[in-house]
Order: sequence, then C-alpha cells, then structure tokens
Amino acid sequence: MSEPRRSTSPATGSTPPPTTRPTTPPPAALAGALLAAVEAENAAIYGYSLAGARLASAHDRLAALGDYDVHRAQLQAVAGWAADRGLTPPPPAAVYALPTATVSDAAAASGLLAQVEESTAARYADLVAVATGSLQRAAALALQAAAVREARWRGGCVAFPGLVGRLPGL
Amino acid sequence: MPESAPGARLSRRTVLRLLAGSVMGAAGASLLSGCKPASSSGEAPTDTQRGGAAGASTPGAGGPDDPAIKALAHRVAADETALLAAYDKALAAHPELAAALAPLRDDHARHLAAVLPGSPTPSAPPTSTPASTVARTATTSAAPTSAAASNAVASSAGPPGAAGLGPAPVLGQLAALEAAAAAARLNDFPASSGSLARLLASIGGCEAAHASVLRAIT
Repeated sequence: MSEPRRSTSPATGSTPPPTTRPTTPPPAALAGALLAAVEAENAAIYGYSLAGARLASAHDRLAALGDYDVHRAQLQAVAGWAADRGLTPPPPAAVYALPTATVSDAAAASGLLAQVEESTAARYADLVAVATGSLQRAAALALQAAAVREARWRGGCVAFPGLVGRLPGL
Repeated sequence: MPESAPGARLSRRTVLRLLAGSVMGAAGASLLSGCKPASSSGEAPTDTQRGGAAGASTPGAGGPDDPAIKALAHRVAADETALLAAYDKALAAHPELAAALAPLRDDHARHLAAVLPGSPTPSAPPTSTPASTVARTATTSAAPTSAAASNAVASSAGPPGAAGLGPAPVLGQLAALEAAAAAARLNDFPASSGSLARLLASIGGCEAAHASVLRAIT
C-alpha cells in the first residue's frame, strides 16, 4: 500500500465522506474488492439498461426498472464505502463486457440479468472475504439482495450465489 | 452454559448431539465434543476477536482446527440441519409441494456438506429422517432472545401444531425460517477466515433467495 494519503478529508469527487472514520489506506485486497464492487454496480446498471427493454411482460419490465434503481442507489453506497477509505473509484466505462453479446429476446434478457446479478453477488462475496465489521455485514446484505434478484431472473435458486463456478476451494 | 440462555444452549447441544449420533457417526462425535460453545450473545465472539486490524487473514489462525472456526461451522450446520428437518416435515405433510420444495431442500444439503466437509449429507426421504427429531426437540425449548445464529432457526423450526396446516401456512413458515437463517448469516462471520466468510455469505444469499421464492409461491 504505497498510497500516502493521510488527510482526514480526502478529495473524493462527488461522494461526501463521513467524518468519523480516520482515513488510513486500506489493505490492497480490501481496496481492490471495493473498487471491483463499484465496477460491478456500474456493469449492472449497464446490463439493466441494455436488457430491460427486451423483457416481454410489463411486469418484468417494471421489476427491471426497480432493480435498475436499486443498482444506482447501491453504486452510490459502494462508492461511499470506497471514499470513506480514501479510495477514488474510476468513472463508469462507456461499455462493459457482458456474458451475453446480444440480447435478442426476452429469455436472453432474463438470462443476462441473472448473470449480471451473479457477477454482482460474486464481487460482494469477494468483499465479504476481505472486509470486517459493518462493511462486511453490508457486503453480505448486498450479496443477499443480489441473490434474491438473481433467483427472480433465473426462475430458480442456486445453492451458492456469488460462488457459481468457484466451489470447491472458494 | 445452563445459566445463560438455557433454551438456546440446550437446543443447540441437542441438535449437535443428534447430528453426531445419527448422521456423522463416531468420528463426527469426537469432533463435536471439542466444539466450544459460543458466548451467549452470539455476535460477541466475532467482534471481540476481530480487534483493530482490518486484515481478514491472520496467519496461523482460521484453519479448520481453529476452535472458533469449528464452533462457527457447527452453528451453521445446526441451522442447516434444522432447515432440512423443516423441509422434510413440510414434504411429508404436503407431497404435492415436492416439485417446488425439493430443490430448495437440496440446497441446504449442499450447504451442510460445504460447512462440514466430509460429513455425509442426509439423503432426502421425506419421512422419518433423524433431522425431524431435531426439529421437534428444538421446538420444545423456550424461544431465546439472543441473536445467536442458530437460535433463530433451530428454536422456531416447526411450531407446535404445524403438522395439520395447509400448504400456504407451511410455505409461509418455511419462508420465515429461511429469512431467519439469512439474517443470522449476516451477524456471524469468522474473524480469521476470509474463505469461510465468503462461503457463509453465499449461504445467506441462497437463504434470502429461498425466502423470496417461497413467498412468491405463497
């Protein structure tokens, strides 16, 4: 961790930093997991804007719109967690690589959103693994929310959301 | 620890003893006998052991022989066993729900195998599994107010009189159990094993998803 920032009020762009936490540079693994979670939320927002319009029913489109808003709010939350620790998340990319190149129909759209949520859950699982205390709990809660959304888009549950393709060995 | 939260302690011990006797065999029993009971307040061990350092991987700690890790794994296993019992009871009472419930039950069998590697997972006869005894035993204890992880599930598995309920209340009860388990997984992380924390968070995610799926059926 060569980041020398020691100020208690780091310049962190638009996210207001809480003043209670002393800003010591986080360990590299924690910093990486936080920034990856920010990236995952940006990618999820991108994925929802891409897939949402392809969903067949008005019910699904409304659900996707709600999930899109949840991810936008969650992006602000995660960016805040990073800023609290003196990290400056990069701005969102114009394009994200998604597991499905084209979203041709409603089934592909639902499948893409399920994968988006699994990827999001995986980044929060990574964060749980390196975080402690309230941040760890918040990451676990975000993982649970992603798993609930994933199950809805998938039409069923997976036994280990966020770890798909990872077990055993974690 | 009879002086603190006797009901909770009794139910957990009973669960573990039954698990050791009926599922895990002698090797499991000897492992369990070394299992240190958690403090009565559930969250306390994690917070006090965690200390100031943010590092989640303390060298030398966090291995499978770490007593705190073992105790946590067994708390989670007790929750999973109670959930399996609740599903078995629901499936026995309502075989028509098998298509919806069997996949969810199987997830818990996988959770149990993941937190206690090497333990044989109970296969799924919907009637007369040892786990049903666990649920019945757990029900007899008074509901604890402690936030300890397994208390939430084990103490509420199968309220008295649940046997005669229709499918909708049974689904609602399962959803409540899943939600309690998911909530417990938010508050009981190991201080020294990131990989176990990751696994437990994922299990909690599955349980939260189960709760929402069950409520959608209801």
